[in-house]
Amino acid sequence: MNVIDVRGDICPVPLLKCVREIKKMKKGEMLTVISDHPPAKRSIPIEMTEQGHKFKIYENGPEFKIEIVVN
Amino acid sequence: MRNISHLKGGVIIALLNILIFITLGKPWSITSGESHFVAYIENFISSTHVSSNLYFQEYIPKTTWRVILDFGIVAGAFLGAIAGKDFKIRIPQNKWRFLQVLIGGLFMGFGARLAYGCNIGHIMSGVPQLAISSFIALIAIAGGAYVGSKIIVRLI
Repeated sequence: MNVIDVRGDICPVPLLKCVREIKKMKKGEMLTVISDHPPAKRSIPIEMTEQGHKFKIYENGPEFKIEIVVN
Repeated sequence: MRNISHLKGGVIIALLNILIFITLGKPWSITSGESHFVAYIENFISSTHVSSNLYFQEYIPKTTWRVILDFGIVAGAFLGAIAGKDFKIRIPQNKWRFLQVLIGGLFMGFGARLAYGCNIGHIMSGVPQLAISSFIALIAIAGGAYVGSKIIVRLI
C-alpha cells in the first residue's frame, strides 16, 4: 500500500507530492495521503476529481486522511 | 473546517480594506509595518543605526497602526483556527524545509522593500488605485510565482 505522510507540510507540498505519487501508480492501486493542512483537504479532492480518481476523506481532529483509488 | 467561497472571502476582504482606508486614511499593507516593527526592536539595540538608516529617515517608523494590524492578522488567524478546531503545532518532517522557508522568506522581505510593497500593498491597495507601479508589480509577482512553482517541484 502506498502512503504519503505530509503532516507538517503546507500548500502546495501536499498536493504536489500526491500528484507526483499518483503518476507512478497503476489503475486500481490505492494511495493514502495523511495531512494536517486544512487547505489540502480542499485542493487534493478538487485535483483528484479533475483527474477522475475516486477518493474518501477521513477526518480525525485537525488531521485527516484521504484514500485515493487511481483510475 | 468550514470553508467560505472565494467570492465571499474576496468581498469580505474588499469591505475590510475599505474600512481600513476610511478609518486610517491609508491603504492596507503588511511589509511596511514589518519593517517598522524591526526598527522598534533595533531601537533597543542600536538606536543610532536606525536613525542613520536612510530608509527609516524617509519612512519614519512611527505609524504604529501598521504594526498593530500585522499582529492583528496573526491573532485573527489564530482565533479562527481555534474556532474552526484546526489549531495544531505543525512541524515539517523534512528538515530542509526550514532552510527553504528561511531563504524564501528572506527573498520575500527583500523583494517587498525593493518593490515598495508586497502582494497586499500592491495588489490589494495599489491596483484598486490604478497605480501603474502596482500593475507592474502584479505582473512581476505572477511571473515570479510561476518560476517559483517550477522550482518547488524539484525541492519537495
